Amino acid sequence: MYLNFSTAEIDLSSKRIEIHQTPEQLVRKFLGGRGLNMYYLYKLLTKEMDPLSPDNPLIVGAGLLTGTPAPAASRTNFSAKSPESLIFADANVGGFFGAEMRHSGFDRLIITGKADSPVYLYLENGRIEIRDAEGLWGLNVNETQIKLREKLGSDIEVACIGRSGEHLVRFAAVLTGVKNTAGRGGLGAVMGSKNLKAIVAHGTRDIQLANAKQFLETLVELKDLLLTSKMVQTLGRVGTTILYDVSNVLGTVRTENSLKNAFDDSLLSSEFEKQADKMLSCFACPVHCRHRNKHGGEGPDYSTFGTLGAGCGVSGADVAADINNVCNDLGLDSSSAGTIISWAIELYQRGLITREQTGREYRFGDAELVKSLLHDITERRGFGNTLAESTRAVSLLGEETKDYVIAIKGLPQSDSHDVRYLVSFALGIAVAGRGADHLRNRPTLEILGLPPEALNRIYGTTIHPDPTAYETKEHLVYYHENIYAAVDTLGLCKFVCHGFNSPHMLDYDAFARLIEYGTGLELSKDDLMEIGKRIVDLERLINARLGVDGKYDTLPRRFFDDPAPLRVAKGHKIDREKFSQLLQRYYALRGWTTDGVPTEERRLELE
Amino acid sequence: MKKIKTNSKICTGCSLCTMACSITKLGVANPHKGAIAISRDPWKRKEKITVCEQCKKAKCIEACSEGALYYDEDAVVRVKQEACTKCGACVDACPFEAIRLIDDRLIKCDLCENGTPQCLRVCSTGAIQLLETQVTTASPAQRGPVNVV
Ligand code: SF4
Ligand code: SF4
Ligand code: SF4
Repeated sequence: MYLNFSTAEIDLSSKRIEIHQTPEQLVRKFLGGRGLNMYYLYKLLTKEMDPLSPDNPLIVGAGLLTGTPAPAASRTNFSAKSPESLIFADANVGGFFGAEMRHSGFDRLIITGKADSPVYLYLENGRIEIRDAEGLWGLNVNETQIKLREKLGSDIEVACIGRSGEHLVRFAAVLTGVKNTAGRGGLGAVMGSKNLKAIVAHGTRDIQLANAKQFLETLVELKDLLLTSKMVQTLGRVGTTILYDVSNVLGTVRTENSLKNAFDDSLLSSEFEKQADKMLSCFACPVHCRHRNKHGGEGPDYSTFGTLGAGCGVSGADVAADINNVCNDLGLDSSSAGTIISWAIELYQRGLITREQTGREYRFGDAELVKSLLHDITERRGFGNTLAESTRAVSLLGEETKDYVIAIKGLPQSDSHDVRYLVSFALGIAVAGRGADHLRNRPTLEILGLPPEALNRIYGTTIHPDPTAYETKEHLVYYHENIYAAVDTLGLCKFVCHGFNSPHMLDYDAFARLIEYGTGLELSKDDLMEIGKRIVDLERLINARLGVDGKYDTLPRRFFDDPAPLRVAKGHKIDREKFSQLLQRYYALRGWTTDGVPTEERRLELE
Repeated sequence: MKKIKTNSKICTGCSLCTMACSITKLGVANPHKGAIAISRDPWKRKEKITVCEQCKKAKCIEACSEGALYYDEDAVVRVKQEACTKCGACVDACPFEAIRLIDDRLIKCDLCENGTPQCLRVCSTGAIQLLETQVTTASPAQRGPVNVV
């Protein structure tokens, strides 16, 4: 068995560092990445804990296969209590940092405390140092990394915050490289609150594989399988921008804070293709979905130009690429930034906030406004200081403003899908553990136009073929949620995961083979599905402890009350009554109580 | 003559090639230990693939006083590990940084000892190709110790 994983507990206050082997029975139960992170969060988070206090544990956990050449084994999860939603935050990031962290000898860091003055962590071949971050504090994401590379050599990998994290913006992110972002939930602010500017990894340690030869053969086979997929080919050419093309025809693009549901053709993938110099990969990834754009940065992804572009009514792929570059350099989560700015624009239009507060006119379609707000938020300047509070700003602006914020459980919606036409997507963002988010369970297969038999085969039950129907949709979310939780424990990207964008790609069987040849651990499809379920349940239990149960599994008011005005989705909205019945069916399928919480027996079993 | 021909312009930087090589040569997964190396600078906006050019007049062979490097019948520069004293003269002599001492072994591309190049098998972009020409251009003299092996 190759299950020697190493966890480092780092207390920045006392400067104490303890390194120990991750207990094998925990690895077997939760594998790694998101799974093990949730185990620790469940042990450590309390309702009283202030997310910006030294007590909040920031956990950085590489996936079980991260750092190996399994396809797209690049991912790492950053987790803590969220300063944005006050429930758990968990953000998954690609790039090269996670792999380098593993090759430097560490699989998981649990960081608590607060340093007296700004520091960074240096990880190298089994050793960790807390180093002075003088000369780095005050810099944004690109400069921080450039400076560190100048000082420490170009073969390091860095995860860091920009000025937004230093200023405790509640949706500040952690970035590695030019664009890869552990975006959701404000983990950059958690780092900032600890005076932790960056984590640097540099390592040459091997990862032993249980059966290296078979692992390599499996990699070749799976890579070839992936490359035959049309979706992979398209992602490799235009990245996630392709999703806009499909969505805009349906009328499922969040536009102008969801006052509309479709936007213009200037954001089509063909336009973004013109902005790209080259496509890039994360570690070990054969998909290469990331643009190196002509404007000095990388990206954008659909959720970024969807929320900061269409969401704010801003046209133009060149403009969107530029705004994306600014947002990344400042270290902000683009999904929250776009959602919060578009919310503010609507509030201004409605007279719920005034020029006296904002200091200028807010209107949709104003690219310069969006850009300057990103800076103001980062610097907490003027009204930017209010917007930096994300959904917490409701308490400053008045309860009435809450109706217009596209957020659930305090987290602004991540992707740019308007869910009024897509009932399963609506259920997905309502129940997602970390708040309004597509990466936990998006049932994309529903909109790919697959024959009903194919869908029924995948889900193992008869699925209602109409995306606006409520019947059977609990099965979709349940299925996707389990497999995405499993893939998040392994450290593989969702873009190679069955179900996320295609019915093909890597499924439980492929995971099982990679795990066996990688670590020697033999797991069945059912075992892996159970691990996924375990994590989803544990996340529910964490939230329940923090005071958030099924009552919070709801949608922004607009999606219930205002019919979508445009295109195929025209006239559609979510029916409250049918939606709450759907929620109950989903809880029943998960074996949860009618309050949407795992049972007492289940809780004891998981502890 | 045989060699790996690369095109850094289309390389996406994934490092799968390096790990395929580290598995083949050392039996472990390590993106820093292949005979083929990838360097990336996201800010200079550059990816670079480094691998042995199988030079016609190889500086590494010239630099080795132990006869540990030689041309095989395809003019591929190969290492005789047991003859190598790990002095590093070849490492210094190579103008491409394509030969390195890793874990007490001399690592350079030998085209997977004339099997299938594993780096090429895992690359998703075509940035790695196998160049094969029928005529062996190296003269017997240039082939060095091949005759005495
Ligand atoms: S598919 Fe894209 S995001 Fe995922 S690992 Fe590959 S390059 Fe990174
Ligand atoms: S051909 Fe074989 S030895 Fe040469 S770089 Fe590729 S994997 Fe390594
Ligand atoms: S496998 Fe191909 S694309 Fe990936 S780093 Fe190597 S040469 Fe570049």
